[in-house]
Amino acid sequence: MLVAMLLMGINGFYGLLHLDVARAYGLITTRSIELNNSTNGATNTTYAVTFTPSASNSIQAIIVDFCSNDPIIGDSCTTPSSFTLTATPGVSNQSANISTYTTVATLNSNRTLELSGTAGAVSTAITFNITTVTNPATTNTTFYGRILTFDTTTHANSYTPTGANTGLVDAGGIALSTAANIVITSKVQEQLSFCVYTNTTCGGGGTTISLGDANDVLSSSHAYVSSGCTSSCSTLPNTINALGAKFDVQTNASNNAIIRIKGDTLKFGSTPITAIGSSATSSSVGTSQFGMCLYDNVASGATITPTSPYNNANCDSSNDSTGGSSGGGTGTAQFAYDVTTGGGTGNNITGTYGQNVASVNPGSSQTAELSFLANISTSQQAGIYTATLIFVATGTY
Amino acid sequence: MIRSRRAFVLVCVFVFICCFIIASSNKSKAFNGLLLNRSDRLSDSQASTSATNLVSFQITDLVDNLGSVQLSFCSNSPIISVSCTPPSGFNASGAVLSAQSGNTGFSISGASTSNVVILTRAPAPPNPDLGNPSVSTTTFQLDSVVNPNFSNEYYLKLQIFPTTDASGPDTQEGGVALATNNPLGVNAQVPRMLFFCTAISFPGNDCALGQGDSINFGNFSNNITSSGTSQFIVSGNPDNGFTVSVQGTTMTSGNDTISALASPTPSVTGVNQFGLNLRANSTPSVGNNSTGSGIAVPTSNYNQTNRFTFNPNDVVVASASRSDYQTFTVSYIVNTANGQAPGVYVTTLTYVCLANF
Repeated sequence: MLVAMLLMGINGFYGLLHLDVARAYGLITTRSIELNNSTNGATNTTYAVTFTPSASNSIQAIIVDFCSNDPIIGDSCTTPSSFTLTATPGVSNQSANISTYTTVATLNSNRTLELSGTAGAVSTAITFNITTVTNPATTNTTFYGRILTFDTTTHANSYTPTGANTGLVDAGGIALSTAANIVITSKVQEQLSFCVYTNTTCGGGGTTISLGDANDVLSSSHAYVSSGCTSSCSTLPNTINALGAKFDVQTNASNNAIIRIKGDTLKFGSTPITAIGSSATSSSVGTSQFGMCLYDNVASGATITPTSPYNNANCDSSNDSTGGSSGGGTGTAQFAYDVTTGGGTGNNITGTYGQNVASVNPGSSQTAELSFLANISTSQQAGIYTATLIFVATGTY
Repeated sequence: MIRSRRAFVLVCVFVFICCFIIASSNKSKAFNGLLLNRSDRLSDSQASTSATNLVSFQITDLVDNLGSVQLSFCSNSPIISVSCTPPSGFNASGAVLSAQSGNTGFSISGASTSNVVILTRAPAPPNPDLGNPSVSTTTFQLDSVVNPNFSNEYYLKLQIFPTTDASGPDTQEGGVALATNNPLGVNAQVPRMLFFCTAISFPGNDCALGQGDSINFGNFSNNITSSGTSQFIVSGNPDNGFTVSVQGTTMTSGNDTISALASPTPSVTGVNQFGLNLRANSTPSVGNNSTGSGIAVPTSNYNQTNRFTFNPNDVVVASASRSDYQTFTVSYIVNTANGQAPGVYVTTLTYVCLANF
């Protein structure tokens, strides 16, 4: 008999009790309390309360009580650890059918919310938000909400979890839970891809460009520009060596990457072809000059910003117009080649770290084109002139 | 008994507090802050080349001591938690710490390896920047670091430690990506050049605009000096310079001649004289000095104002080395004596430019 009573306690006692009180109140339906943050101990959490009354009965107040032990109406209620609505709980977004319910109070040491307004019959879904809730302190823990409606505010004020609760119209329980947060961590490593080449693509390689005619011979009556010819190369005269230098660069350096070039002017032994200097200058046929400029040749991707004095806006015009057989280099492009600023180890192309010629912001791979110009005077010493340029990319992360 | 219990409780509480403090301390160490503005500027990006590495970063943890800095060069990753694969060919064994700023007093630890450089000093808090006391900018210049033997991306891991030997947890860390690549060669040839042109005049000093090839003195007079000019333009890049010589004869009419001046001599009317020089003269007023930026000069006999001479095959202009364009004006004078046989006197002069490459 005792065993039967216990089994009944497990399987039927609640039903008996429920049946007993069901005679006094209806069961709210479609009820839920949605948390915008289930982290244990989270403060100012919003609880979105939704339920539908059992029938069209007149009510004036709503009680929402939070318990750690169970959702059963009539049972004692234990406050969830550290749970609080705060002393002045916030309520917002009341549905139209309880739009007058603006009086907010707490009971049971800020565990129980009482929301009241003008009395009236309500049969449709009721919703409102409680915006100042501090979640229970323990993670992955179930707790419960009990929703009760009363015919008058006076009766609601007298609400006790285990009391007779005169004027109780509808009620129902809801289970909630706190949950552990999942932290997702990933790392993005520093990247710097840098490729200097003379053929069409980086994969094509190439490490040498030649300035001059078909035999790489310069002239005192004709400028030669070796530019990055990636399109319309056929428009260049046959006497122009169209192979140009380029570099591809890609980085995620948050403070950009700097491209530096280190080298010297064209030299035959110790005899130079005069470097143009630190001021961008137009080609002057018959005057010994060696210079360069560069430009970002693609609109998309990261931005390569050439640095003064190598940033002449017309540098890209050196591609075709300044390499013409009738006096190349007479276009509007201007070139520079600084071998003096700051002295031997200073910020010039011959310095310890070379010279800053461009900066690159983070982004996808981008290509810069370099145009080199050479002119000679009639007194320029005969010989084979060479220059070796070292390109260094430095990202600051 | 009660006292001993109380003592036990106090000890437990003390141990608990200590454990909590230690745990808290370890927890803060486990969160490694990121070094800011990290970079490594190479002086040379060529594979297998000895280069200077200018390593720079900013420390934001100004509380913990700074006793060592570990620079790990890796081919696989800049992530601190990923084991480091030494870049092929990279060698920092001979690295020299040639400069340091911001936080100083470091030297290279003997515990360094070919790809891991440990810089050590007596632990001390980092020095805040003067302009921005919330960070401590630190720079090290490492010379004689041999780049990897490939042209590609590789990485530097930076870690700072409160200990002197880079042991224990670091206080801050961060990675840097670097890249080696091939240098670019630029080639060109300058040919041997010699430019020379002659005419009566060259407007604009332009060879292409040369005008005339004869001088007409008109009728000679024994009391007036006849004069005229011609020009030549010369330039070239022979290493040993060039010479311009004049070939021909004095003025003749059949068997009759007007004597040439064998040495520089002033113009004198009433005397047979034929001569030339390359200067601006006043007696008579004829000629100009050379113009242009070249270094060629008239030879001494032809470089005297108001003195004229002519000897066939004389060198009239010489340059010791390469010379830019210059325009030379040759002044000719003719005087005749009473009784000089009438006739049409002519001469043809040829100027020859000889390069000495």
